[in-house]
Amino acid sequence: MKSILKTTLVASAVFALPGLAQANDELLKLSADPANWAIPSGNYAGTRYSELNQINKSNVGSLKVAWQFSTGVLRGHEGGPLVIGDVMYVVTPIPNIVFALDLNNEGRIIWKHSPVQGGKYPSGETQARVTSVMCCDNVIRGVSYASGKIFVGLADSTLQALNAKTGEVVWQAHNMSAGKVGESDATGIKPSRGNAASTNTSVPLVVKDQVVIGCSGAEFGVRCNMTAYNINSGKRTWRAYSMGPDSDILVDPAKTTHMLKPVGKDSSLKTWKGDAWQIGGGSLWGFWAFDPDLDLLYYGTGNPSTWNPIARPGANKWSMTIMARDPDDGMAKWLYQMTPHDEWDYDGINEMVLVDQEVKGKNRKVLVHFDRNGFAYTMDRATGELLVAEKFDPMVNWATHVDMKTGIPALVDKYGTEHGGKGLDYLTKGICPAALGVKDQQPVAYSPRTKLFYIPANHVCMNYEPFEVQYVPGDAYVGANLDMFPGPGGNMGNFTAWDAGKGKIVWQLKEPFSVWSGALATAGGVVFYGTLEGYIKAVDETSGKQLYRFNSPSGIIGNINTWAQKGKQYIGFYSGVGGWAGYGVAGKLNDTKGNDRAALGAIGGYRHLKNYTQAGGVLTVLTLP
Amino acid sequence: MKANAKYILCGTLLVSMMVASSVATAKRRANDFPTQARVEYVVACLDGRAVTSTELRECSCVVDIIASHLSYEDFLKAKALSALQQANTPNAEVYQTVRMTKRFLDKYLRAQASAELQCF
Repeated sequence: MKSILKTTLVASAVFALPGLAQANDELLKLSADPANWAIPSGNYAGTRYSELNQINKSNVGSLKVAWQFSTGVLRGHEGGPLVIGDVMYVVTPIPNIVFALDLNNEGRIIWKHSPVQGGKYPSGETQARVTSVMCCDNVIRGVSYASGKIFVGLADSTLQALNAKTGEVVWQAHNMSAGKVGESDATGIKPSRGNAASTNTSVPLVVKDQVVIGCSGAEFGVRCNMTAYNINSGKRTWRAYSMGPDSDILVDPAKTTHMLKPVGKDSSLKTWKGDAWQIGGGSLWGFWAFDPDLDLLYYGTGNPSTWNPIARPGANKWSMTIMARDPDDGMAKWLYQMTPHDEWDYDGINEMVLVDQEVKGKNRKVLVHFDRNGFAYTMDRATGELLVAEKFDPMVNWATHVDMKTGIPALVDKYGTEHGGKGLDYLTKGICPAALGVKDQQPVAYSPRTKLFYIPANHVCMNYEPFEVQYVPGDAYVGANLDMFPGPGGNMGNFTAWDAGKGKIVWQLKEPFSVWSGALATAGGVVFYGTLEGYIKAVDETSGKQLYRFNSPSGIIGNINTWAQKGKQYIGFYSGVGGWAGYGVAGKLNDTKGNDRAALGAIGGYRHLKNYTQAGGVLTVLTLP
Repeated sequence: MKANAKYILCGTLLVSMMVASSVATAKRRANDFPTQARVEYVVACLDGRAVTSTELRECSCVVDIIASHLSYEDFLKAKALSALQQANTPNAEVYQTVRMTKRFLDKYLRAQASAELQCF
């Protein structure tokens, strides 16, 4: 039944004439069939929930490996597999190889697209240059599908549309510049102040007949933006910067609201000193959501640049902001800044999840967002009204609460890092959470069965010391030293079930390390997540009781997705943290004298460690026997 | 040189093994490595070397000794920390700076060194 439906849908999708239906009609159909995993977050609402129930509480314990696929690429593997019909699409960390895998044939490669040729990305930047300006490992968070095309945002900021059948490039657009000022303009983009050393790790999202893509580089003084391209022509349709003049940030001073009030003229410019907004950061690298009924696109912006707050007085709008925009022209309907004048690197990029839920006795169309800053926000997604803002880890200490009238967090002075401008080279101790937040990009799941959110979380605190830094276009522009340590209780991660209507933790599982994988909720009553030790775990949706675990070849920082094919449900995910040397455990002896290390190097077998070919990332597919 | 280094290491190992042994007394947890984990370890250990009975014996010896000293669970934690120490994510940064995890990894590295000294 399901497979027939799937075939019909795919066929109609392939033969649909352009112009008759918009791409998101096709995507809505594809994602409504749980046999596919057609949108990076499973659906436009970003719930990461699947109606499939073949794998359920009573049989999940007997899951077995169906097949595995080694990407041959090292380093961190984030994102997850996309499944359309009988084909799976995955992308690797740098050099961003895209694979189409045949699900009828245990993952045999149908095509392989290698965008780096002769050591160079399509923009002309070398792989080495691009790698050197990635802030945080070589990651990429997946690919998108629409109208027979696969969309991939390469690390060098090139957006490519590939023929889903052959992998051939249909069109490409150079979105931003990864180059150095004065060195390269091979793409026609001249690397400049605020647009140099920009990279991409985000997965594009197709909305109507456009594909939107973000950018990274807040650690390099990039002024980031959301940019839309026509899916057929590759022509740019709009670009909305995170900060700058009203015409750049696409707001209507009289109509765009913040806390239900019009933002007014120059809402961003007024909150920066001089022209600091030109290198203001506000990057976009998470997962995005779309509400087809309200016709709004939702995403969050990242930290203001630099990490030294003293260098950028003002609220630094619209960094750290939840944005709701009209996907046709990019115009903002409402904005909400969570962390004005960030002092901790609490990026606001985490995903937005769109659900209908009861809040304070009233059924509402809400947006739920778990921010790096440790607050979980529940908002009316039509109007931007703030309904709930509560800590989803009690350790959060930089603010006591969020003022529900102004939306501004009530700061705790001793855990600020600016200290009235005297914070330079001053070490502020014991701030919770650490810069990586109570949750980072690893997306949550929501189950309509339990009405609970399942949060993969960090439980880490930090000491933070801002320092003076000069902006040189194309160079790192960080400006803070950090060290981090486990939160109260000694564990460094949690898997938390959350009631977003009430703003309360329902249950919490402690994990020794951060939970860095995207969660999955299913109609089988089972919720999945992965750990840095490489375990995929399945737990009961209501109690959190562990029902199954399997040790995959490496730590899991990718997302766990599910699909069905020929009547069987599958679970698929990447493992791969990078660095694991295969034989023994490599590492530096930290608290001993150099003698030990010399001795270790001299031992017979150990010398082979460096020769061992490091295992690449692995995609593991599980199913019932 | 090699013998000398070995001697120094053995000295520190004795101390650390004594500390580790209090953990290892929970004997029901020790020696619980799945066969596949042992095979993976041996295969990786053999990499670049001739596969003769000598090499097989040496590599098997190493994994058996490690497995007798710590649970599979702790081995996986050490493996994760090792990977994170070499990775380049903000997440990894945490595990490069956290003292607790350093001590844990050090304990493991000494067990591994001890095994290699005994087996090769």
